[in-house]
Amino acid sequence: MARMKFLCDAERCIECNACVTACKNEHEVPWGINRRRVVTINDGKPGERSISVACMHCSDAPCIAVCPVDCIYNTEEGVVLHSKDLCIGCGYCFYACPFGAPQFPAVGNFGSRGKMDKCTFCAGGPDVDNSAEEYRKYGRNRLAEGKLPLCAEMCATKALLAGDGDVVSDIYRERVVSRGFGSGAWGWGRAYPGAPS
Amino acid sequence: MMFCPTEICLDRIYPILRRIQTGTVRPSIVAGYALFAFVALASVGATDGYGQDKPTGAEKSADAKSTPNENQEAHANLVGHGGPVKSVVIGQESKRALTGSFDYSMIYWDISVKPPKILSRIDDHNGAVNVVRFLPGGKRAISADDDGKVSLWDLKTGKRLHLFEGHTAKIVDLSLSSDGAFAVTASWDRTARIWHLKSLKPGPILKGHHGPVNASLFSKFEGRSVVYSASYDGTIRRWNFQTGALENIVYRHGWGINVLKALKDGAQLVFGSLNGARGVVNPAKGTLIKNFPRLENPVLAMATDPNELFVAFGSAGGKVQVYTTSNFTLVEELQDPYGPIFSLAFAKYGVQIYYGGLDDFVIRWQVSPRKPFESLSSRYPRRFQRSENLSLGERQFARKCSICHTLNSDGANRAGPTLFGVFGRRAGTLPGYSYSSALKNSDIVWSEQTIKQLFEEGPEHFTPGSKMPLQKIANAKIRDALIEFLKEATIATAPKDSANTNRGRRNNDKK
Repeated sequence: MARMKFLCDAERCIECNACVTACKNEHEVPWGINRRRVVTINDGKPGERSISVACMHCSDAPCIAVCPVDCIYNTEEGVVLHSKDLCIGCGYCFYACPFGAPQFPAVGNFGSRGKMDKCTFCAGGPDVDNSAEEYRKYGRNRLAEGKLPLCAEMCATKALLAGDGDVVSDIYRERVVSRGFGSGAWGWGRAYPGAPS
Repeated sequence: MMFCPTEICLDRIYPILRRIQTGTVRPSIVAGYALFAFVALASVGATDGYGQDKPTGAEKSADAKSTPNENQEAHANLVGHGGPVKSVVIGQESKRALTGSFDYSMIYWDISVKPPKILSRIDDHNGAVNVVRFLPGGKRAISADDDGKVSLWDLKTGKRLHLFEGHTAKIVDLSLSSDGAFAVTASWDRTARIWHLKSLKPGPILKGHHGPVNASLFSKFEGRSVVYSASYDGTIRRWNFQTGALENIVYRHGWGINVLKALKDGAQLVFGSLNGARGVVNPAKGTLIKNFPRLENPVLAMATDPNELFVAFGSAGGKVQVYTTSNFTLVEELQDPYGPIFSLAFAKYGVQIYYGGLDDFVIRWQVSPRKPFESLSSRYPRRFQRSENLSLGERQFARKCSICHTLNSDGANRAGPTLFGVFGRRAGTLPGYSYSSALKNSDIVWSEQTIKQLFEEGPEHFTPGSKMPLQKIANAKIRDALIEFLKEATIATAPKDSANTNRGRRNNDKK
């Protein structure tokens, strides 16, 4: 079984925000919510880098550990999904997510927050695949249609890669080999001091 | 009723095994445990291993509530909340405690007696209580909640002295100045705010963070009072206490910072982060002077003892680590396999730690000397995590409703009122529950039809202004199954009024 992964190649991302727009449009994400965003470091300065960030579908997702209603789960393909039927909008998952993936619409009761919304890796939710109910709550289930996430498909420079982790890493490895030593993942040097960044 | 001995033993073996795996267990514990396991196996009978009668099928089925048990009380756990505990603080001389919970309440405890006694339970909040603090002297307390409001309380009368309003999102941290004259709050509306607790007026708003503010505190810098804040944007900032102006971005961690404390009169700042990193910063130079080994999960809680000899961290993965503050050496650690750790507090000068997580109770852990047998207070799955062998309707209740409601006449201090006898009851009329004014003035009578409407339209439309979170059930089959289950379970269950004498009573009960 494939393990789905995102990878954003900071050497290629040009901060066009097409991934953000594609996601918003494909899933009819409500006002005030962005499932994906582009973060730029050192904007306008030497060494500027941009990366597209959304839920990273962690293998050992901390959001799952803190949810008081156990509404977040891993699929067999390694995608982290949640049930909006179960979610009560408490916000604990936001507290635990390093990537700021969980978003909360400001509507309704209970501290004026709605149910959590986040990137689904275009894999819908626990409702019947490609049903109207699933689309209304979670957006399109492209994985069930045999397609990959639209954000990555729309990426003009192919900075954003999505799919089977083995395939994604093969593509990225090829790029790094071709570009030469030191062109690996952005932030590598920060994560592993002494290594080339 | 017999209970599987394997299950009992695994409950106890698991934490030991975890400690063996992590290399933190002493050989004597293993040997001692073997003897204990033998005794446990030999004595298994009609109890569930916690000294409590195993619930009958009907009770378990109808309620799925976590009953406080004798074992917990014997271990001085704080049993009384009806939801996850987000904040715990211990008063001077470790005689009193305050806890704040998802169940919209703050509980004032006497922890000098065994089992700990609830002195009062204050549930007049409109959202989950995220932070509670004693004011100097211990006679007043302050709480902040999901509703973005700060309440000042008289602990003797349980009356609210003042309500501070201004934040537009939940408040997740609150810190007091050393004289108790000021409070600073950190909110997910991306601001921190200072409040004058004597004049009862709002102070400066600290604006500038680019993400939710997770921590705030008063401290000293170059001999004067300042405020520090830490945010999801990964920065620690220093603010002018009088004007609220940003003085400096003290440190950029990159990853979001969840918790922040000052040591040595402001000479050091300790932080814990979303990526599991923890460090000590010199605020004058903005440099990292200690980098702790990274935890595998986000750091959600931190505490220091009153003498600042120890600092403890709690993670989303259930790990608690205690370090000395003199040379930042790890002295003890605990792995609660059913984490996370939302709240931490030292007691008895660092000898004990109280911690809260997803359970309805606060666990007391004996840090030093470690006990040879550390029984596991949490149970898994919790009532809201069950999914096995349940009918469709019962499963809906367990997963969607039981975090806030019981089916017994004992409401168990949960965030919502008990559903016992809900059919035919007028909304907002159950004695003892602190309803929102929206429901108090409602003319809805709960019936099959109105409950159906509630879940068809959602509480935000059917009962706007109530405390109930968004909860729609669009699927008619699932909705009907839940209603059918409720029709039986809310009538058939026997009342258990006297089941929990240690539980706090709703304020309204006393009125």
